[in-house]
Amino acid sequence: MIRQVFVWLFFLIFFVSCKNIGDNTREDEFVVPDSIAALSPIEITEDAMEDVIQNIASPVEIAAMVNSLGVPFSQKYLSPSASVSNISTNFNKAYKLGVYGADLGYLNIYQKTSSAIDYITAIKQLAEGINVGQYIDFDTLKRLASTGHNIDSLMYLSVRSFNKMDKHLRETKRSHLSALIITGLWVEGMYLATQVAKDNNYPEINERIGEQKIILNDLLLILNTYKKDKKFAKLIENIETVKKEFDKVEITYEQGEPEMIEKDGMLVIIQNETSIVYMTEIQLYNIINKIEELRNTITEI
Amino acid sequence: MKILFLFFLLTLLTIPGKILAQSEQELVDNCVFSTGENTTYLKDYIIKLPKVNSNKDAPVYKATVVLVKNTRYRFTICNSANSEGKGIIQLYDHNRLLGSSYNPKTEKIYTSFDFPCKKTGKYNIRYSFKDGEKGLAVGIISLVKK
Repeated sequence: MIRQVFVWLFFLIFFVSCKNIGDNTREDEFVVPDSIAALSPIEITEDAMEDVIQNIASPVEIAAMVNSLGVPFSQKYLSPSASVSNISTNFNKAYKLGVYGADLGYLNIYQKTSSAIDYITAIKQLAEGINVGQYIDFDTLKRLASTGHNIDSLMYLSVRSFNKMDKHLRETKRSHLSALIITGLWVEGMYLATQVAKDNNYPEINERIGEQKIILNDLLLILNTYKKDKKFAKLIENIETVKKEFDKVEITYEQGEPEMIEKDGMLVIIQNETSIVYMTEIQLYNIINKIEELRNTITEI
Repeated sequence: MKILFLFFLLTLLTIPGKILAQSEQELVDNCVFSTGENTTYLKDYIIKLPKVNSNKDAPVYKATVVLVKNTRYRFTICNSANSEGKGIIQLYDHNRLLGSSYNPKTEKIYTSFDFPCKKTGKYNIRYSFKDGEKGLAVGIISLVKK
């Protein structure tokens, strides 16, 4: 009897082990095309790269701020999700993955869950195209979007999927694709913020746009690591034109000592230091135009 | 039979990594849903630190994030059921300590704190375990809805 149990256990464990080995092999077989794989980071280390990538603020904050100000939802701020099958290179797939990630964040914040399904479908296709499709729980995301009840879970799973894809890409030495996803997220997030600023006058949105000067420097630091690749070089060149406008923005700081208080049982850190952005209307106008140009140009790279 | 038993044991030893990974994900999921109804998840960190050796500083897990002005963030830490140490979160603006989830005067450890950000920029988060104990925890950063 004991012998029989061991034999069955042996076959069961052997099956499980083989399945794992098979999965790993499939992952190892992936070959990065586009001649980018050979371009290992040369200016900053992988650790520093991870740190910088983590530094690029998520577009969720921008979408949440736009929503909290009462700005009505507009489809015109979104990138059309229909043309995914025409995207052939990994460069464009990764970039577009970031763009749709930002759009999905905007749709989720505004609870436009029926439209979100199209973006989830597009994201799944693009993620599979760069072999990170396993991190998109398509069925669950689609179910959550279809019912439209559990927005928090939808938000969580969407953001978590992107975090996992990013982590996996960096772990498998494909940080260049992570960098492109981050670029897509940033450009689309900025497009949303600047288009809202173009149509409305919210000083808070204008200030958030001006502050992106800090983020843009980090983004360029990452992208410059891959500047030997022609497509990256072109991308950097385009983003540099936006940076020239951001360089004119001034940010100053008013110092203050932090405090810690307990309010309704919750610990709160009060920051008594604040940042002030100095940006003229002309500077804002130029940034809006440059972001619009950048967004349209990148799709042609 | 002994060889078969040995093989069985060796194979079993390869499985815990996967089981552990699943339990870490469960820990993240549970922690995210403990942050409150009015929050939106942004990032998670799995903090696994060894016990401190005598006369050495307690091990610290460091992370950097950009926080945006006029946004209220919630920093939460959830200890694994098996964790020996209790997790502590410290928030720094560069090298300047803004606040901590541990109050050394009262010895109270909070599981979370809110940070209404007034300055867009890079912030450093340091996760550690009280008294340099060995521990496993999850750190979550979420956005508190207005």
